[in-house]
Amino acid sequence: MHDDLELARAVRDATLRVKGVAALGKGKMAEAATYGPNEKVLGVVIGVDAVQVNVVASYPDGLPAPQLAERVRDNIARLVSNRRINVVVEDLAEVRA
Amino acid sequence: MNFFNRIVVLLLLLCLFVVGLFAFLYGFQIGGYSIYDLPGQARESGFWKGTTVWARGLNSGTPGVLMWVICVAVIITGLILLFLELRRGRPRNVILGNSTYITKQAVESEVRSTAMNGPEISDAHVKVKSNRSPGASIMVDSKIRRGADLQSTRESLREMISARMADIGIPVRQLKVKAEYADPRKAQVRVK
Repeated sequence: MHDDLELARAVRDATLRVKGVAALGKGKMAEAATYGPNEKVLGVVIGVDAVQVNVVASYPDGLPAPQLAERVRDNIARLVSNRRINVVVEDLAEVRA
Repeated sequence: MNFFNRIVVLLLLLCLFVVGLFAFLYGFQIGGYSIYDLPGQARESGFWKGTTVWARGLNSGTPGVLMWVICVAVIITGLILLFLELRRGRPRNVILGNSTYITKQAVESEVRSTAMNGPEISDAHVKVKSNRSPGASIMVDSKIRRGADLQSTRESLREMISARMADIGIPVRQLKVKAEYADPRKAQVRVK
């Protein structure tokens, strides 16, 4: 459980460092988060064989969503080892430089 | 299919309610109804007699043409319903391929803001459906200001949306654009 939370934190930080990611999403129908004692990491769901990352993509300068997802995937692949990485673009946010 | 399921469940519950009501009346012998008289009453009813005649006809191996038609129709309908029920449902999000998804709300909002950028567009309603394979089906119902050409506005709207979706990287499998003149009292934007 604590390992999941640590992993979720690491995935969150690595995802937020990706250029084109404005923020992490919270989930639309249900909250997308990893839960621990007195803490939850929003936007990252750690599963047994998959990791889901909900992102808010920035535009107009952002990348096309599939390329952004690849970038996120490349950035967090070393953290999640063999787990499948699902990237959900939850929203597009206008970010002005 | 959800709509159909709801109707079936509603009819089933209605039947259960009626059966339950009669079971209550007969079980507690309310209003002169007695469960001991039920077999006799059922035998005297037209439904029972009709069913008996039908079963005898079927048993003697002489079903009529109408019976064949009804049986085949019931079998085909059952197979179609079974196929629809077993078919995989539409995914919640739009699939972009390779474990990448985008929410329908994000696509809707982007299509709507793109459509509203058109100078003739007064209002736009967008509906996005996710497909089982990568891509989205987009339906745009736009209201345009009076005096603008419907055909050219529809075409330009289609081009704008296609270009924007290509920029974002969303494969569009179907794009339906409807355009009609806006009632200024109901449109979101009256003047641009």
